[in-house]
Amino acid sequence: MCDFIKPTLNLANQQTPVIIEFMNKSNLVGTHSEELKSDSKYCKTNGVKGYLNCVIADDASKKLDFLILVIETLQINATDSLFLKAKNIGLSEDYSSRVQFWKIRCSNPLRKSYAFSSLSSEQIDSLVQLISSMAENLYPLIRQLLSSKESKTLNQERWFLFSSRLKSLINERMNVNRSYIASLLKDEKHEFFRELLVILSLSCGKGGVCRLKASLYHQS
Amino acid sequence: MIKLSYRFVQNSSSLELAGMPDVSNGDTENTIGILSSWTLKIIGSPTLEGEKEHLENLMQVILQYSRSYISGIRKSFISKKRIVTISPFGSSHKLLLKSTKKDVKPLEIILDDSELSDITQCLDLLRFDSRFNICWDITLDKPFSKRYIYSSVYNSNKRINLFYAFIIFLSTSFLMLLIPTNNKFDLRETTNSSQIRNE
Repeated sequence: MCDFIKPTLNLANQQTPVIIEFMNKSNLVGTHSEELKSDSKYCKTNGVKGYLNCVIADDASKKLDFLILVIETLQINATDSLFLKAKNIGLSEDYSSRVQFWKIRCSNPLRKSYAFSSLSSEQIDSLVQLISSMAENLYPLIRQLLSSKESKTLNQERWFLFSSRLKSLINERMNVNRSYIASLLKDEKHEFFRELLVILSLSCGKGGVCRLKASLYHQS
Repeated sequence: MIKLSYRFVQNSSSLELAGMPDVSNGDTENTIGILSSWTLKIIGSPTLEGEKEHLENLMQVILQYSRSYISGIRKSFISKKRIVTISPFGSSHKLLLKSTKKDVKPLEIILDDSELSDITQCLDLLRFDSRFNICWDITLDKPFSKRYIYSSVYNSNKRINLFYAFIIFLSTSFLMLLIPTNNKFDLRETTNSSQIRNE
């Protein structure tokens, strides 16, 4: 079995504190400069401000939900890590309750349980920060999948595991009657999945937060 | 004068900068205000080095390209002084660096997605690092207009669709021309019936 899936599968049967402890010790946790190590400091100094004369893009909720889905694919029990990360970076209580978090994610119109709601700019800011810091943790795995310099067979094996897990999550949560979802499940080139991984890789760090946030808005 | 050196390492990329504090600008002893040299090492590629101007041009194209790429737009970018170019190259990205010295051939580096994100992160770390008091001439990450996104992403698709539409129109028109038309159609019966009705 592929080496990057092994640790996550081993952790699947463990309890949350064990997983968190493992994450802190393991090499899965990406490191950057001293400045970015403290989550709370990171939150305060990221300098993301609202955009003038800009509106939220139509596909913002879809994009954010799929990015979280990719995080869930890369890390088993990612929801617990997401809540812990949200607490560390000082996000609101919406990100500590599973139900509230699920409600936010139900703004994605492609979900089975679409709530006919839209995301506010505050919710987008919070989700962007959360996704960015999770992407930073999972960067070694994301990088492995995006790299073309490693052996083809190993890369194919990684992609097979990743795509099959992501497809099963999509099948479970998205409205499969929609042609877009059906086409995603049939797609063997995994172009959209690769696109999501690229977005995650470019969302790491302070610059990544600004970049991802800018991509979720349109100039009016 | 103390010479300072800082390094940003991100998997395949390593960016090292050397310089000194600009005392006239009120920099502390740990801050680089004057950049004297920089070196960018990418695994499997030649080492890049130069002056502040060269790094600034590299930052301009890499950060703009990454900003566009995250929005699904893949297009070429040329730096302000036209010494650095980045363009899509199949599923990879081609970085073209022109030397300011004469008789030096341009350097071509092919980057995959992982290497592009490594370099982008190195440059991000640099531009947000408080230990550097340098003003970079780079474009800020701003949202694009809908029109720009549609024109950049769907341009090629639009052209193909228009081409297909034209071909379908021509072929159906040709088929319609092949259908024989009966010009000698006799309308006598209908006229008779109308006459009977009048009677």
